[in-house]
Amino acid sequence: MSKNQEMISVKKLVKKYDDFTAVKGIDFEVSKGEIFGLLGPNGAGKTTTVEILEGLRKPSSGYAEIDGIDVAKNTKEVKKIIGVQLQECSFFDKLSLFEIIEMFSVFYSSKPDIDDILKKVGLLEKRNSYYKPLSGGQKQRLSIAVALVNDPKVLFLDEPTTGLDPQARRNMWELIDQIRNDGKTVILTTHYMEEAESLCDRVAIIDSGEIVKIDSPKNLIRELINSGFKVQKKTQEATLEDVFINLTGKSLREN
Amino acid sequence: MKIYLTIAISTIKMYFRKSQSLFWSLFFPVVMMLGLGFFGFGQFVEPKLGIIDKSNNPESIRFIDELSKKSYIEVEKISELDLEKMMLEGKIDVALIIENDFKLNAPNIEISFENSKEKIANEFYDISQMVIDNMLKGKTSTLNISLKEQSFDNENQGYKGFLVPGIVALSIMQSGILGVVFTLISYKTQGVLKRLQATPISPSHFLIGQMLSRLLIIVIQTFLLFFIGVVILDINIALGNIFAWINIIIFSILGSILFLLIGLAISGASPNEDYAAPIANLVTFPMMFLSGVFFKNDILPGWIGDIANMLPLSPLVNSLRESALYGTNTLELVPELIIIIVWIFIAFIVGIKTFKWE
Repeated sequence: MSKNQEMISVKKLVKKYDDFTAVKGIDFEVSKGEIFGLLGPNGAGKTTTVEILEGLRKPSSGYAEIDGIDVAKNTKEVKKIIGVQLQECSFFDKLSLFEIIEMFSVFYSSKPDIDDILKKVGLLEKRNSYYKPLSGGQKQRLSIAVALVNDPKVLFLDEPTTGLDPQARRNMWELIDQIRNDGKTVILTTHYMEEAESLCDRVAIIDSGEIVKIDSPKNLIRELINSGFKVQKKTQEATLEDVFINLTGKSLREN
Repeated sequence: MKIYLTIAISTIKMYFRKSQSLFWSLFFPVVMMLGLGFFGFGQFVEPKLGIIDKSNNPESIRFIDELSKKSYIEVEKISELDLEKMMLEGKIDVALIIENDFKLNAPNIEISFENSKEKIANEFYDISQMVIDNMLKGKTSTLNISLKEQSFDNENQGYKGFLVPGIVALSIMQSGILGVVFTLISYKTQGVLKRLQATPISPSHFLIGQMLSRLLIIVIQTFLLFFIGVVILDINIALGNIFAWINIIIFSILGSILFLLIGLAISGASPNEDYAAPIANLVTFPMMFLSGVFFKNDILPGWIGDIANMLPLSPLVNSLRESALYGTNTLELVPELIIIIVWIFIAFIVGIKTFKWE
């Protein structure tokens, strides 16, 4: 991978709070067009890392840049070229989805085709409804739609499928795949290993503020097997989730 | 500029789509005006008697002394020239005119009142008679007390006229403080503010846009409430007077700024979301009763009255009342203006120092 293809570069990043260190000097690089996964148990430092890259928190030390821009110094410039889907956030109630996206477009001084964005995330028929009555999956998709208003170079998705039913989760995976095909770089945090395995080109496994390993899911699995690891032999060729999807179908249940 | 405009327009849209906001800013104050105005709530205040003593002899002076001893009325000696003005401004309810050559055994008194105060006038009639009877200790007298109904241009002003500007000021405070506190707190807890922080706009854009639109809403609300007062309660406000208009605009804008900033300061200063609403109530509730919204401040005992006059709502109540009813010259309202501006300054500093996005 050549140097000019690097979209994100993180060096010795540290984030200290009063009594503990959430991020303990991590390094990683993400190439253009990659889906990069940040995996780790709760409290491992995933969200803190992502929020530093998004310009929501200042690092205690270390360096992070996106598309060659120093995140800590030129926070505003970075915010202009990234799209953000936050783990816990909400949008204005009593505004239609169209109006919400329109409002955020103004914040980025961009003039996107709003209906096109709504269509992309499958919310076109909901363009005139309010935020509050949306289902969990629809809310997440709106969040992604809002993150796309500035046609960002990098898209941050923080646990986009947490709390969604299997149908909505699969639908979200298709959407993320589609976004990658548009040439965007995606940073994805998740608890679902299956999700990381099917979407991510590479993953970083974080535990207690440190990166334990970075590689492609395939290589990581191969490495584990080569080290002599064996899963309890199973004759089963399907999972319960397969059963569920098989019985209930793939169509979304929210409209 | 476009950002402020977008935020302001969106805020106004959201405001009018929310039924609760219309309830609290229009429906509730109107109900309060109607309820208190129609049921003559103001009659629970001690009636004020203005006395014009034309004879000024020992017997008339004794009579006035005896009247003044009654604890349930308030007596003030006035000159005939001030009579109409004081009645118009509601400073006295009824005037008692002691005609020349007053003698206790042949009293010649005229009780003058504006037609909405007939009940009070009748009470004074009885009281005067009782006082005179007592002073004569059973000796007979030929009473000559006449009741004279007066009709002024500002008829029906009375308590309703007093009440409406008070409620308008109260609504400015409620919309300003509660509107900001509840919206900001819900945006904070739901993560709306955090999401805004992830965009390139600065936090101040959002706050200023919000404040500007709310300011506009409150000024509209002020005029609407005055309009409703005129139409439904039939109060006469000094519509023809240019000062009334200028003052209402100036003071409703300054009042809105003040209470929006107090709302911001409360949202910032409260340690967490759970405290914000109680603190907002704690701040607004005393002012509701101490700032002369329903009753004149001067019924409060000395130092409490002095403190009450300095509360943020008091100068707003006074200035709106003066302006709406009498079209008072703006220059005469400079003391009120100063108190409001000092409070704006204090609220601004506290708001800026304490406001946090998360």
